[in-house]
Amino acid sequence: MAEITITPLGAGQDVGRSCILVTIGGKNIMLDCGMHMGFNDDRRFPDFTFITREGRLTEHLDCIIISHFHLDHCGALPYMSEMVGYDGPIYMTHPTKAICPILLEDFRKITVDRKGETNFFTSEMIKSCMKKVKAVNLHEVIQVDDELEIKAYYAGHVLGAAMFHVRVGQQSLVYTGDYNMTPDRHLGAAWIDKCRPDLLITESTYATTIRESKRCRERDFLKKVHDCVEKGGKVLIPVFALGRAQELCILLESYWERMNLNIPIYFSLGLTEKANHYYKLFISWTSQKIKNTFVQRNMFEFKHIKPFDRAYIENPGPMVVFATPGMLHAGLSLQVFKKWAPHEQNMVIMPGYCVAGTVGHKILNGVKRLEMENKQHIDVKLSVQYMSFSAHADAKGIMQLISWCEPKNVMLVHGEAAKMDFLKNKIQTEFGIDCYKPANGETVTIETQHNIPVDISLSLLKREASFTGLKTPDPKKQRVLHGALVMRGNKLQLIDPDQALRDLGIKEHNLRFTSTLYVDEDGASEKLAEKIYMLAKEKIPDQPSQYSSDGSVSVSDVMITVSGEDDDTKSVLVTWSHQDEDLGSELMDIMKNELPVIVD
Amino acid sequence: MFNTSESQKAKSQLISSLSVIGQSAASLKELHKQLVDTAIQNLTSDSHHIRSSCLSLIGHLESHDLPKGDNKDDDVTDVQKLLEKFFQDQDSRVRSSAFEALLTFHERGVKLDESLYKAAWEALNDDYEGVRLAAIQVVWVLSHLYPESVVPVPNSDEELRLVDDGFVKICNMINDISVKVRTKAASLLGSLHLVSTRFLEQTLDKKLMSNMRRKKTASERAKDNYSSGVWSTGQKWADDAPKEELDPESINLMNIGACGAFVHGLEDEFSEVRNCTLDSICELASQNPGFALLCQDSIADMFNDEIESVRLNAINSLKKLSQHLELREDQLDIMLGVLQDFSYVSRESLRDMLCEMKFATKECLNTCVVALLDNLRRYPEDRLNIWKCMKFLGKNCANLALPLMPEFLCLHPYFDTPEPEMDDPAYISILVLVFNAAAGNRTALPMFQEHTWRHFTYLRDSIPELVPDLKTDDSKEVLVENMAQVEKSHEAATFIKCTVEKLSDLRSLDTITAKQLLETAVRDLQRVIELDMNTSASAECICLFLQSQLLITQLMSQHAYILTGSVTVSNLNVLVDKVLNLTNRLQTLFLGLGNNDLSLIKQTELKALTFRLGSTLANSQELATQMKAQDVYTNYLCGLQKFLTYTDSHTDSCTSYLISELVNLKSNQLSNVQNVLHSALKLVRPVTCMLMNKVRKAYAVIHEPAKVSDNPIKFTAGLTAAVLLIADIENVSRIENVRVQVKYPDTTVALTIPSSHDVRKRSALGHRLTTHVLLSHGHWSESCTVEIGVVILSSSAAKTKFKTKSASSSEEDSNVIELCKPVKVLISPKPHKR
Repeated sequence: MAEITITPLGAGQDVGRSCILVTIGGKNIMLDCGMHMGFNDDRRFPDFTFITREGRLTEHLDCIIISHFHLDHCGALPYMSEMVGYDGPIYMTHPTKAICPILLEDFRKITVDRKGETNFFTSEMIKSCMKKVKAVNLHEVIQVDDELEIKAYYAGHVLGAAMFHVRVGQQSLVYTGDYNMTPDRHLGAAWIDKCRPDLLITESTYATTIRESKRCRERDFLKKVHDCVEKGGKVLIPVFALGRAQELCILLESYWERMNLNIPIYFSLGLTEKANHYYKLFISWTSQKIKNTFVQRNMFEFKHIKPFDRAYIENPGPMVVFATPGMLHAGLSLQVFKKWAPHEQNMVIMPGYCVAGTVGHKILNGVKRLEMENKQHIDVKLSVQYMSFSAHADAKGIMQLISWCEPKNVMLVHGEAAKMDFLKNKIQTEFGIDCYKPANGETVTIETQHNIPVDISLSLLKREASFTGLKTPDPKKQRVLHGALVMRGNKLQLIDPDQALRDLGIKEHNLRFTSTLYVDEDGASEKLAEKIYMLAKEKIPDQPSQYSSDGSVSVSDVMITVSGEDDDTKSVLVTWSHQDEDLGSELMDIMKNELPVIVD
Repeated sequence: MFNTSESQKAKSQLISSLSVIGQSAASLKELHKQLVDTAIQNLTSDSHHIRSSCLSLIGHLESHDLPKGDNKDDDVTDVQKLLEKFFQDQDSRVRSSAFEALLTFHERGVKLDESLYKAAWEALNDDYEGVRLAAIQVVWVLSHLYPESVVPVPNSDEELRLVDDGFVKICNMINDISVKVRTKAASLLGSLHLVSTRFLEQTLDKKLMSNMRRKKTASERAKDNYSSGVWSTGQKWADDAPKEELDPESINLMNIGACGAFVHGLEDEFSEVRNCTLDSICELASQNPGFALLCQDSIADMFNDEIESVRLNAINSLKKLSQHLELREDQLDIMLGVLQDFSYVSRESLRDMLCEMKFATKECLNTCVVALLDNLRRYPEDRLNIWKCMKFLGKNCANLALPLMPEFLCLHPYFDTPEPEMDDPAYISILVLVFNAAAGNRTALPMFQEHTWRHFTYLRDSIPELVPDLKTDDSKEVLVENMAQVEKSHEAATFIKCTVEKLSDLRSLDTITAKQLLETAVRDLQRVIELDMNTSASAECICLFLQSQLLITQLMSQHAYILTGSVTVSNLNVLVDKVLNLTNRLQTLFLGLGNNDLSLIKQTELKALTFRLGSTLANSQELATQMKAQDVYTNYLCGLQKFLTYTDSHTDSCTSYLISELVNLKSNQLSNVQNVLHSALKLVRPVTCMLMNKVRKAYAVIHEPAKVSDNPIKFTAGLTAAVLLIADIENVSRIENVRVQVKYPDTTVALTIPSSHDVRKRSALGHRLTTHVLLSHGHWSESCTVEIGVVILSSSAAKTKFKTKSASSSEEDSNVIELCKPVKVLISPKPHKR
């Protein structure tokens, strides 16, 4: 039995630091190489010593696959490739390859320049790491080496996110990364074909959630923004640079277009601007609407959204501002928030989750008076709204993906253990397949069925087809193909028996069965023979029966000879070759049942 | 050829061509039989091309009514059995052809066998989308054919009706992996009207949960708020926090069967699927009021879709379901958002929807009115449509409007409120609503203040179609009012009839009396046109005809001079052209004219032409001109003669004389012609026409651009600017004759043909034109107006054209007839900057 072994180094019963080691058909593959946002020490990176105590990883890994550009999926990449050491290929999609270094650089800046950490990867390292990356297109089959091939599928979630189908020989697995089964304003839904892998490794962030339609949330969001600016208020939307920010921009932009509003929308400069540039380039990765509109114009060429300048904070009149970072813990968004908080016609919309301790978390919990670092106080009078725009598949979506690709086993990662249990049960009952949820460092072995491929000679197949092809096909009837199984080298072949005999120089042995029945019936033996002939014709109409003059009956290759005197018991001699065993025994049964056979 | 050919492709092509041959020779049963037999023989071929083309040939040609005696039914099922065997062929293309062949059977009226059902639904799990696509249709066809027969549920003893089972199976396909299959499934569901309510209601089922706890959908929350009577004061953080714990066993994660099928379809990635799902929901809901109530929220949710066509579809769907529904406030909130939409079409369809809706409470009506007023403020050009909407709101919700009256009219128990400005469109909207509501509920009348009554009288006169009559006796019912309306039309109709009858002996009167009579009749009719909507088209038609007769009498009075040549040609030609113009309009604009009417009109035309020819022959010195004029005339006469004999309608003495004489004449005998004309002109008499049919007049209403805006459209001279034109065109049977006309101040005229996809059919004779008009001109020193109008090419003008050298330039111009008053648009082409 062949097997696939999987060891999550991160994201096993956990969210963050996605890194899964897979051994499939003798190939070692690393799926994602992420970092953990929650830690600032060594725990933020996966434990690469699991692979080898010392030395480089190159000889232990055949390839690395990165599903998308979020740092919890690619954050440890430069560390691994440059500081630990890996020179093999790294596969990711084109948009991921474009955006990933921006985020890594930003991440490096924050940790090294702001927090003053040393022993961290440098810009140089990011660059040399990106040189090892090979970009893939959707649905393009990449041959990593002779046996290992990978194929990317669209995953939604963020621009360039992909699911990967990995195949070695007959064994295959699908790694989903993060994906989204419901489309949003700028990205489509994940899609995969019925590839029937041995294993599906899926994320399960929302394992116990079924969500409402996107439209409902969007409507809420738009209505709130519109009402606020209508009354002359200012709206602050703290966002992270990539992903949701673009979705909300498209949402507001098209709403502004639809309602013909001319209140300014600003987008903070820097990272986001760079990212928007890439969104403009990778239109083919976006949703139906954006693709269709592209014929006329690029939706990411915003008409209403302009770059923000710090001086605009003091501007009178309504406006909408997107500012980074998303949790209001530092930077421009906090600065804007401080200015706008004391006015109650203003509004802040938090589009995502906020870590405890940040200003964002505090105001979401209804804190009305904030204390800032230099003993200043801010009265929070503006209205605070929470909107969840998250692009992960919910429980229904996960189940749908499973039913689409029909895997033989499922493994849940990237989610909380307790929630996984529920989904695991559901998968086992609904699909009747095995489901695993390994913790970090825990190894799971999955046995796969190993089929042995056999070459069949074309002439044999054609001859067989021409036999049966004369009749109308009847799917309910199985067909039998006679051939000889020959092992040549390490390959199996199914060939014509005659050919096999000739090749091996062996003479053919014929095996014939003979059986005699004694029938107690009066009359001439010819009469009985005729009776048997009629019987055979009636019971087995699809075989050619013949009644020859010398008193013998042949049904296909089965010979029946009747002998005996007129008034005596007749002996019926039936002979058939072993190829006709079925027919022969059937005939015997018929005769035994229908004729007055003497049983000794 | 067939037996010799080796190539499989060639063979399959041959079979396809044989199939086409068979189809074109529809009656040759023997040939069909022969072909089908050949096809059946070739079914065993090992090429999928050949197999699938054979199957499709069988589908097209196998006929069930061969003279085969009593085993006809067996024969049909035999072939179907044969096809069924191919459902499991090893090649997907052959499998799908087998299903398609069955569908062709069905289209040709052969009844499919029920036994196929099992094989068909098993094929729904096929790996190939083509097979699933065809199989899903077969399931659908069978569900239609045998709705009530019973099928067993696998793994249990239960049994289901076939239509239910089919419905569930098709619902399942909404989760399919392929967009095409999803679209097909979504659109097929709509027509399964016989499905049980139990399954129908499941389709909208979706339970939300968060971390294993039950969560309410937004619409449920809104409903709760509404029923408890408490309004949440703005959403708080975690307002939608999940409540109760859920039992893991009870949660259904898979969209199995009908469960949540429509919800899923509405959330699909592709707008095609969403649109089809909406259509299906709408169709099913119109059959089933209970389901209509359930799906209300889902449809309302679609008002916020990102693609406009889906939004429009949602609005229209809800409008179609209006008789089953009652809108709640929270739903209304969502819907009224559309009124702020920039797209005119969206706003208009939403208002149309509001016209037919029922509201649950008076607050609904109030928010609705407020939203409409807001709409009016944002987009003043929607004025007329908003008033119309207000009228229906008042009519439909008279009882809800009553308690709101004081608010609407700004009444105060103690103080007199200032009199509102009469020209304010917002105030007019309110008044339209109030008056219409008051017509239905007379208790409101005492609330009116003195100035309200004054405004009523004014509005009643200025926009009678929107304001009902309130002055009638209080005891009279609303019904009577409607009756009065009908009665009035009737009166008008009889009046028209009388007027026309008075003129019946017109031909026997002398010219002067006839002229006087005609003048009075025309005057009377013109007033009728203004007064009554129903009969105005007929009245206008007769009026135009009589005007042409009046002109004929003028010509008659001059005819004595014509032949002597003392009347100037131009003077006469002006009159003739006027007549021709009138007849032209009669023939183009009015729909439903009888043959008799048409022949009268054409004869009038002939008379005018006769006058023209007479004068041309008398006055022109050039032989060429004379010949040419005569040619045109004879041509026309021949055409007319054909028409008259074809329709077998009455001809008057003048025409019959002309026809009998002139047809025989050769064109070179000009003097003879002149003689004939001379005597013919003496026979000319004005006639009257009795309209038998109710005629309709073609017209257009331009919604956009609405009126002269003070801001000119600026563009660089020589380049173009696009102006959105939205117009409703009514009663035009040949829409391809409609043109958009742009008149520039320098009298240049541009005619453009609107492209066919800009025209949308709204009713049998109504069309909506939505197009961009391109304007372009050289540099102007200041802004000036151009006129944009919708015109129609006249159907008959070309034939009567007699080209004189001078008239050729403005030819195109006179060939068109305006359908409405052109709209003026201010533009200012700027010199381009360097």
